[in-house]
Amino acid sequence: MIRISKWFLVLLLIGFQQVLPALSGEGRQRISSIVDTYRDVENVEAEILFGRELAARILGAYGFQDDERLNRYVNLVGRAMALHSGRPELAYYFGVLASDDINAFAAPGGYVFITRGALLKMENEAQLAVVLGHEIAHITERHVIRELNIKADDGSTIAGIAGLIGGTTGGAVKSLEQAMDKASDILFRDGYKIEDEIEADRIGMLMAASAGYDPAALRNFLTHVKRFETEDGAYTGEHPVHTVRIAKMDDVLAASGPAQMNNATVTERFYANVNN
Amino acid sequence: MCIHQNDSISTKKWVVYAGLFFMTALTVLLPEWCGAYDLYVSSVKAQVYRMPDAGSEKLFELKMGTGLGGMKKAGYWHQVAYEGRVGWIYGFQVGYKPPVKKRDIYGSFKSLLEKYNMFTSRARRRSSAYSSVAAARGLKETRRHMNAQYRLDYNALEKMESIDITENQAMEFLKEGIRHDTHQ
Repeated sequence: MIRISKWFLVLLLIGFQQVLPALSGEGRQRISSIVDTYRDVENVEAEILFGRELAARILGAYGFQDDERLNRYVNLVGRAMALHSGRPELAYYFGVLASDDINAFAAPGGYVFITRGALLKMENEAQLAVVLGHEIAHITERHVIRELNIKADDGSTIAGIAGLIGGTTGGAVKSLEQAMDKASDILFRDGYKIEDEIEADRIGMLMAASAGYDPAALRNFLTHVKRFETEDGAYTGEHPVHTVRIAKMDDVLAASGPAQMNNATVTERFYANVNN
Repeated sequence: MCIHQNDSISTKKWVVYAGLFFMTALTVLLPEWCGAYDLYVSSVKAQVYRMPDAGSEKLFELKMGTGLGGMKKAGYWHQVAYEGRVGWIYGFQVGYKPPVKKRDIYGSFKSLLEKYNMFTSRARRRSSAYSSVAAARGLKETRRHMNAQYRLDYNALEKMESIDITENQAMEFLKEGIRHDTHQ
């Protein structure tokens, strides 16, 4: 019997040796990444409601460019891009803002804005597509929501937003008010963290490549805008670290391969729809 | 002799038990140990490439919701297996959970807006002042305060939301632009 127990112990030991790596380190990381609640319907709804309020603020601050043809064109480009995003379950809405600033915004839940000024500085549809892709990435990666850092009991951020929106207590309403103000500050004043901008650049470029547009269009647009910035100082938007971003974009183009592709820029159709 | 026979039977029994334990552990955890994990396509369609390089050969295309086995992650890419074929897919086009369907969200979204006291109101249509609009929406007093310092434009928002473009229209528009540009 003693011999039998040894056999058993040896096998048990071998078994645990195989099992342990999965229960620690990378294995555990993978398991934890699956415990992700942001795709649950209730949380997505909360995200949309929150973003919708924020979108109304953006429109109130900048004004809507009430040009049906132009808005339809921007929506066609944007929605085609959104189909290649990681969250096509959202309905994406794109709007042109009546402002000569060169800027673009994204509110959680699928609301994307681009200023008339930015459109007028673009040179082709690929540039529009990749800028919209960049903004879509801010939504898919929930950069605003993450920055708000509202935690639910289970530790998930978006469930926290759902809790606030569904909350009826004074504390919940106050917290929602603060969250909305903080989100407005991010969009209107402080900007995103540089790592979020770089991530949005990367995903926007890969999304454009996946859709068939030239992924280098974002780099070209930022370089173009940077030139304007230095010439007349007109552009003082929220993306002051263009040099860093452009360098990172070069890394993405080199590392992921899209630079090798001869993708479309779609210039003719862009100028037919955007009156430069 | 009898004792030896009993020993032999017990040995076999324990070896079987241990083997079962071992196999169970491997079955449950081997995929994790080997690096396999579940992935689902989360974009409308996604290309699988031969290499982690969009310039490499396109092997096949997968539709949204398709389940596939992740093998490893390298930079922006996942190496995946699907129906015996192995290739690489962009990381941002897959998720660890099946994507929520649009109809699951927007089917109930109208009632959600109503719950939030932000939806249609006759008085809102009559009003043009933003502050009056907010009031006419019937927002709870506390929630109205939330936006008090901001000008809100729900009319423009609804104009944006009313632009009706189907997924097919968007996809056809994209294909036409790319095709035309490539042929030039």
